Amino acid sequence: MSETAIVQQATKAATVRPLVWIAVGIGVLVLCAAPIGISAYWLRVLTTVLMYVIVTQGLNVIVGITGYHAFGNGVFFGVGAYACGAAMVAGMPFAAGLVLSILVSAACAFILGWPILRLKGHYFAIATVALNLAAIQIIIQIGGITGGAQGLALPLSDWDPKPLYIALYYLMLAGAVASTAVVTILLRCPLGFALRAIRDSERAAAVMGINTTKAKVYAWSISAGLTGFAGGVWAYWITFIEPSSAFDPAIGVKAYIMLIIGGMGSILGPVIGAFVIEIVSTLVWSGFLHAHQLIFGVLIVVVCLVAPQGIIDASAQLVRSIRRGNGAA
Amino acid sequence: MALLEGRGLTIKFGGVLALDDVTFDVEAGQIFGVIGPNGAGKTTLLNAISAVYRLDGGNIRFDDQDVTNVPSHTLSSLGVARTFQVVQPFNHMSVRENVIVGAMYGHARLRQRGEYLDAADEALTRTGLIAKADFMPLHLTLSDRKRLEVSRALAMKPRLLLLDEVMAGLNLTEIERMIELVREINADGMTVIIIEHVMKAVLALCHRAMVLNFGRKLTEGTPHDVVNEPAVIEAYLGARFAKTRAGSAA
Repeated sequence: MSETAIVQQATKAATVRPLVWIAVGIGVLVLCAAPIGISAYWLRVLTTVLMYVIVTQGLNVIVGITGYHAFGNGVFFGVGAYACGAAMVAGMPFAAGLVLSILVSAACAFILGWPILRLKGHYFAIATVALNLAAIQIIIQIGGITGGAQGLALPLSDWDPKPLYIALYYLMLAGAVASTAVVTILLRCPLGFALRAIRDSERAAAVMGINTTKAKVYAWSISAGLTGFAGGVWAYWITFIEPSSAFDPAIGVKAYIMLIIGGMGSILGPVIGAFVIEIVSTLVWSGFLHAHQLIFGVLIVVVCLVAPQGIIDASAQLVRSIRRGNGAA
Repeated sequence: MALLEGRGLTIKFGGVLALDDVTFDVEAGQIFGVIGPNGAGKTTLLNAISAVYRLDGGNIRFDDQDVTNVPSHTLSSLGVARTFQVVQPFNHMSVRENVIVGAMYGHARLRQRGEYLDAADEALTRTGLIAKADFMPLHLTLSDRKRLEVSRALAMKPRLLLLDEVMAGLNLTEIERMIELVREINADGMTVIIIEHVMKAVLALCHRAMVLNFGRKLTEGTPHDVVNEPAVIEAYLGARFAKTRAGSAA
């Protein structure tokens, strides 16, 4: 590629950006209006999608931006769920429970991060999986306010189900917008520069003056706080949590697939990944009741082969090649 | 008092003494060259100074402060910057963003958007890379990637700059440009340590040079004296050549 071509490409990318943000704005407005026109079933699907947007953005912070592959990041979903659940059983209001979801999850990551984030590559990945599995046993053993193996029933809301589910939908929507805003701001501030530097060369980052362990611990705390929020709202939404559902390793794995499909380290990749995967999986499930796992798996493999850098990157390249075609014509 | 003092620096890799009791002083304002055959321990020395490796013995003082085995980022904030022989650009960040990291952290610690952008562009102008500021590192030639390494280090506004074979792999014109760049940087008052195989660059630039061989310090002096010393010629070209050369000189 010639030098002028690269510069032109960079300026063209800058002109596309406002259009993307306008599209995002319209998308948020549509989502705001959505509860008016859709069935209870689709409201539930969309709430799940938005929940996964939050979890995947949380994963994006540690995996996509920092390059630390936290396979077991779903552990903070469970921590958030239990923090909110236990607080509400103890008599606190839902709002206080949610604040605790964020704080307790972030604090767990902050404390665990100092030792665990010194591990690199697959060692770190396996350590997070171990955390996820250990958490199930720990909750079962603690018992008491966590309910142990019997699970935990949250106090029921005195709202009617319909407005309650709509309110929870808006809460997830707010969380999805907020987590995307967090990633956007993070990428522009010094911490974000440090994290991206760590992802590409941790050694060079350290030599350039970045306290890499501290930066990684901050990143994981932010990641855990976002994930914990989603867990807290989820707990109140389904009203009964147990260790194997709150700490289900499949939550982290699913978010991981969404991140890969959408595009790691990008702002909108996790949003697109969550929508595509959750809605496609719902459609496949309703269309192919017996073979849905198989068909879903094949779809994921195909997307990974066609767009290994994710949908965001693939569509950017598509726009680029269409433009090049127009320029030549 | 010297800006950097190394005393008895020792590093072991298993049973191998990669660095064996190396002592040296780098005065402020100097260009200090470290030369030696392949495997002599030059890059190991640089990794020791920049706190990438931990010392097994000895101590380092920078600006009269003990910096033995401090973390890399602490050393960098005190004002030591380095480049890597095998370039380590942040591949998913543009050239400008790479350099911004240096300005945000390092010795400069600029946190205002205007300040770090200016510092980055200043460093890129200096190294002649400003026209490619929006490129991704993967689109750069090796010569430009070496310039990127230097730009990032400059944006950190260091007091001591460690250059690890920035000339290696460059053609003659590019070497001339790099020599000119190092000279300019030094003229502005920055102390420089260079590790170099390109003798021409060492002779043109260095005020003092230290020769390493098998991890030990062989000699130190002005570059011209050092390269004419029989022990140095022997280390590079073998004992027989050193003998014939000594014979013909006599």
